This record gives sequence, structure tokens and C-alpha cells, in this order.
Amino acid sequence: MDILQTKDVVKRYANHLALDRVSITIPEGAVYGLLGPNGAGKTTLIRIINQITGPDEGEVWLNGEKLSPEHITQIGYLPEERGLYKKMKVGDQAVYLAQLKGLSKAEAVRRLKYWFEKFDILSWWDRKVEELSKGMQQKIQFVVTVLHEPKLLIFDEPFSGFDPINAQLLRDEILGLRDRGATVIFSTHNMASVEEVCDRIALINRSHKILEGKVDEIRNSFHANLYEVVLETQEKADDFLGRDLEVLDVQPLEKPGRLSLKLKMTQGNATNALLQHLMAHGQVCAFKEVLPSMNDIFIQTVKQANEDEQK
Amino acid sequence: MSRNNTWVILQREYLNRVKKKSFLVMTILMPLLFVALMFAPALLSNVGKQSKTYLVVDETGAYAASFNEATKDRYVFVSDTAVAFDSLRAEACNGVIYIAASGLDGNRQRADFFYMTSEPSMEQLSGISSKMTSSLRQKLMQEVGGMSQEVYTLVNEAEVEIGAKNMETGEQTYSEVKTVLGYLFGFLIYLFIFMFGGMIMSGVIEEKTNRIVEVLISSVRPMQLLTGKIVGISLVGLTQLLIWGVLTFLLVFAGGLAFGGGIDAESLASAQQMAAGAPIEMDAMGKVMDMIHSVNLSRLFVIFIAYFIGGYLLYAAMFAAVGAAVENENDTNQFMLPITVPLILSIIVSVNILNDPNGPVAFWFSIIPFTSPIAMMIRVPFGVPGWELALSLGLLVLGCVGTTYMAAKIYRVGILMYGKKTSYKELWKWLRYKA
Repeated sequence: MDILQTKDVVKRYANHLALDRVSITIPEGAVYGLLGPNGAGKTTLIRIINQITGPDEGEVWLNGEKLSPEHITQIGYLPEERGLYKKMKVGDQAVYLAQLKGLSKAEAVRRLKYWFEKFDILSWWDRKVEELSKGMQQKIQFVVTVLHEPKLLIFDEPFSGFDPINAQLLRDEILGLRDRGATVIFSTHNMASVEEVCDRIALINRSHKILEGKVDEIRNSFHANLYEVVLETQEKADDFLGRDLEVLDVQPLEKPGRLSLKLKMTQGNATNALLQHLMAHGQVCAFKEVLPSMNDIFIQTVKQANEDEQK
Repeated sequence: MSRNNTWVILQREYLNRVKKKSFLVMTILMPLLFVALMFAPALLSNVGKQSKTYLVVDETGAYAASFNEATKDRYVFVSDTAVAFDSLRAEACNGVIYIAASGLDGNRQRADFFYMTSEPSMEQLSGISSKMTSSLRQKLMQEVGGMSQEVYTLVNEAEVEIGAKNMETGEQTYSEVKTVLGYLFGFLIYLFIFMFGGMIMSGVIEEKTNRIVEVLISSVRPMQLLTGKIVGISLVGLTQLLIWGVLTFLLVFAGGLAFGGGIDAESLASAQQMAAGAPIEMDAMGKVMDMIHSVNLSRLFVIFIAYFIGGYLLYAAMFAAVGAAVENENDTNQFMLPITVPLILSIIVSVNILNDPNGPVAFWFSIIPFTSPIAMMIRVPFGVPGWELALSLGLLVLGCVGTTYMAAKIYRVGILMYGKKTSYKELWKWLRYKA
């Protein structure tokens, strides 16, 4: 079941096209990465999903229904540019924001106590926001985002401003929410975190979607036939490696005769043949295919798309 | 759900401001200031105790009885103005009261007070006017005879208008009660629009620079946010106004009692005179009350509230739009012009309006929505035809709808725009964006 679907969404501003026929599909229970360079149109797409602005063309479907104002309570949104009223007390403010999401005051207080206790911030209830550090404010914003138990959570650069410990805490909470049935959309530039938490991604560049799919499938499809090998041999690497193999790097290890190699198969991808070939020349201690990182894929795809556009 | 959200926002906007210390201080200090302003002249004139001499030229012959009681000041009747003016020029008297026969129109009498060096105070004029009014009423009753509802109304609404003029220049001064009231109410509207409009603007700027607007806007529509804010803050204004009214009334009342009790012998004498049913020289309290009674206060108040709300709503959304167009308070100046110009202009032309409350300047300024809240309030104490009031209020409502519609469009786009220096050209673009 797909929780969210956008169909050929177009958004124009006065003199530029922010989104050009963007269609994405997000299955229920996924952690979905929305990637792209600055100004690609990610925030516009997120604003359309949140109904902050409407699409000029195309449709958005949530849970099999066309997006409508009633759906606001099913979505939780933590924007990249986020803030709180500085002069307002933490508790009052959290209750206020929860009420705007349709919770009653009593219910909001009850749930807030639970989350504040969990994050060990209950003692801040009566403090003014301006007295808190940025990281503390982020925790409160996170709690407010998830408090009404939305089916769809949207995080725009959620980890910016968090120290590593709190970032880990936040990551665990997000995955916990996913395990309890929520679907998460992640918009981020942090490619390491994409590999770590996302099941699927869409890559948006210059108002177009240029890539979408499961993270492991994408990485496999981008594989460049790169292998890392540790080999014990008396021979010189250059001597026994054939013409269909390129040696990118050779590093002698501490133990004499042990080499760390980085190889690229220039023709085909018959790993067994490669292994047999290597085994004939020495002892294979480690053999691993190197998949490109999301970072590499991101840079490569965006560059490629920009070049294609210029042609 | 959606209406509920507007209500939640409204509550926050209201309670957050009403609970502030500055609100409390303003709310208590202003009535004290009002009352001090009201009583100071009355007190000062009592402290002076210097007896003054006025010459009265009465062409109607109806007001002899008005000035024959024993009072602190002396009133001397003379037969013609030339004699009186010579005397005034020679500083043998403090002023000349000229009651022209042509000044009588039904139950209204127009009179002039000429002075040389020192203008008469509002209390002096209203004191003279009330002395004359009782004579005018007696005269009317004698003339008409009998007692019917019409006669009662005629007599009850009888009024003496007395205006002060400089003898040499013929220039009118503005110490009349109506002038002061008109100016006061007009200026209050001016003050309130800027005060509460400013509150809206800084509220919007706060939400924008805080970036909390991003969070809010995913839960509520921009129009709900704007409506909640505007209505919430208007209720803050009305609350303050209500408290000011009640406190001022209580202070005037308490002050009247205190001062009344403080003026020993004279006030005792007054009290005895009052018991005997004779007109008396009024104490401070009496003077204030008399001033207030000389205009139809409840009518004035209803009109004031109407123009207060109308004027506020006309400008409220514009203030919000300015707040949405900028990044911080320092950048607001360039966009404030369309708001400040009409308001300041209405204050500037107030002199012309007071000179001729039914002239073309007064008419047009009190009809055009952007200036009407102030201009009309200045005119109202002088009496404005019903159709003009209706037209002016009708246009004001249309104006409110129009400015709110335009400003809301700018607001909607502006609150989510960062890091760009906004220009008027940019605003024009925003106006044409689709929702």
C-alpha cells in the first residue's frame, strides 16, 4: 500500500519552474529520502505535501485519497528552518502547537508529559524558550512534530544542530516510529545518514526527478565493478593481472608479500572468474565488491543530468 | 477543525498580550493621565482665585438674568460692541461676550467671546455657556407655554454655543468642548491604529524571523493565522479601551468627590445654593460633568467604537503585510509609507476640519476610508448628517474588505520568503500569485 503519491506535480513561480512533472510514490512504512542539491525543488515539494502551497498542475494522493485539509492532522512536519516563540514557556508553547494539530488540551498535556519524561526534559516545562540551547529547542520541536501520532512524518534536515549523541537518539526515535507503523520522509544532504536509515530515495535536480528507487537497488545498479582484495603472493601484481583488469591501487601490507589491491574489471562482471584467477597466483585473504556510496551516486547523477541538460 | 484553529490562535494572541506587564502599566497609567489632564485646568483656575471682569453685549436682551448672580467673576452689561472693544483694548476687562440677535436660531444661540491677550479656558467658556443656557431655556418656556413632549424636547435640547475669537485677528481658537472632544477621539484612533497595528506587525515579524511560522503554517492556513492574530489583538485593544473608560469614569467620580470635599467654605456655600435651587458656580467636578453633558456622549461613544474597529481593521492587514514583507523591524520603513501618509495627513488637516466641520475638506476626508476614521471622529461632535455617516461607514467596510484581501495575498507569500530584500515590485508580483 502506498501512503503518498504525487502525480505529475508542476509548480511555477513568477519566472521559474520549481517542479516539473514530479511523480513519486512512497510505500507505507518506508523511510524515504528526498535528495537533491540546494534549490532543486525539495522544499517546494514538501510544502505541497503539507498543503502550505498548492500545485499548479498534477495531484497528490494520501492513503488513497486526494489530499485535502483534513489530512493535516495525519502529517507531522519538522521544517529545516524551524523555531519557537522565544518569550513563551516551553510547556504552553508545546500545548499550543499540539492544539493546532487537533489535540485537546488535556490530551496534549498527557502526551507531552510522556515524551518530555522520555527525553528527560520535563524540568523545562515552565522555562522560557530563550533560556534553552539550540539543541534543547530541537528536541522540543521534534516532540511537537510527532505528538499527534501522524501516519506520515516529514523531516527536513533533522540532524542539523544536534550533537552526535542527540543525533543518535533522534535517529533511534525516528526508526522506532517507523517500526510502529509511521512512514518517514527525509530530506537531507547528509548522504551517510541516507545510507544508514533510508529504504528508498528520490533524487530531484533542477525541478526534475532524476532518480527514484530502493537504496540497495540503486547502489547495485551503479556498481562500477570495483573490488577490494587482500592477496598473499610472491609475484608482482602487474605481472599476473590480465588486460581486462585495471589496478587502481596497490598497497603492501605489514606482513611481507601481502597486498591490498583495488581492482576494476573493465569487461564483464564475472567475479568467480576473477577469484579463480587471483587464487591461481596466491592466497586470497579478503574479497569484497565495492558499491558506490550514495554520495558518489548523488554527485555523478546530478553532474550527468546537468551535462545532458546543457546539450 | 479549521474554525477551532483560528480560535486557538486568537486565544494565544490575546492572552499573551493581556498578561504582559507593559499592558497592565499602560492600562493603569493612561486613565490617570486623562484625568490629570481633565482636572489640571479646573484646579489651576480655582487656585488662581483672581476675579475677572467681562463685558456683555446682549443684543437679544434675553440673558440679563444669566449674569446677575454673585460670582467670583464680574459681568458688566454694555450697550454696544465699540465701547466694549475699546475697554478690552485698554485692558480694562478680560473679555467681551457678544450675543448677536442674529445668533438665535430656534433653540440654539450662537455667541462670541472676544479676547485680547489670554485665551479663555474651556471651563470659562463652558461656564458662560451653561449660565446662558438656563436663561435660554426659561425664555423658550415662557414663549411656548404649556408642556408637551415637543416642548420638553425643544427646551431640553436648547444649547448655547460660544466660540472664542481673538479681537484683533478674528481668529477662532479651539478651546471649545466639541473641538477638544473631536480632536481627542480622532487622535485616540490615530494612536490606536499605530499601537495595535504595530503589535500585529511585530508579531508577524517575530514569527517570521523565529521561523515558527514554518511550523504553524503546516497546521493552519495563513488566513486563519492572520485572522486569529488580527481579531485577537483587536480584542486586546477593546479590553484596554474598556478598562480605560471604566477607570477614567471611576477616577473622575472619586476625584470629583475629593475635590468637592476639599473646597471648604466656597463649596459649602455652593451646596447651600444648590439646596435653594439657585444656579451656582460650579466646582471642578461640576465643570467636568457639564462639559461632558454638552455633547451627546453615548452617541459619540458608539460612533467612536465603530470607527475604532473599522479603522483598525482597515490598516491591520496592511501592517501584517508589511511585517511579512521584511526580515526585521529596521526594514519596515520603506513599506510603512502607504500606511503613515493617510493617517498623518488626517491629523494635519484636522485644523481645516475644525475650522469648517462641514466644508469640502472635512467632507471628503471623512468619506474616503483611509482618512475617515480620524477625520470623521473630529467632525462628529459638531454634528454630521446621518447619510454622510452611513456613506462613510459603508465605504469603510468596503475598504476593510479590499485592503484585507490585498494584504492577505502579500502576507501569504511573504511569511515564507527569506533572505531576499523585498521591493515594491516584488510585492506586486506576490499579489498576482495563485493560492
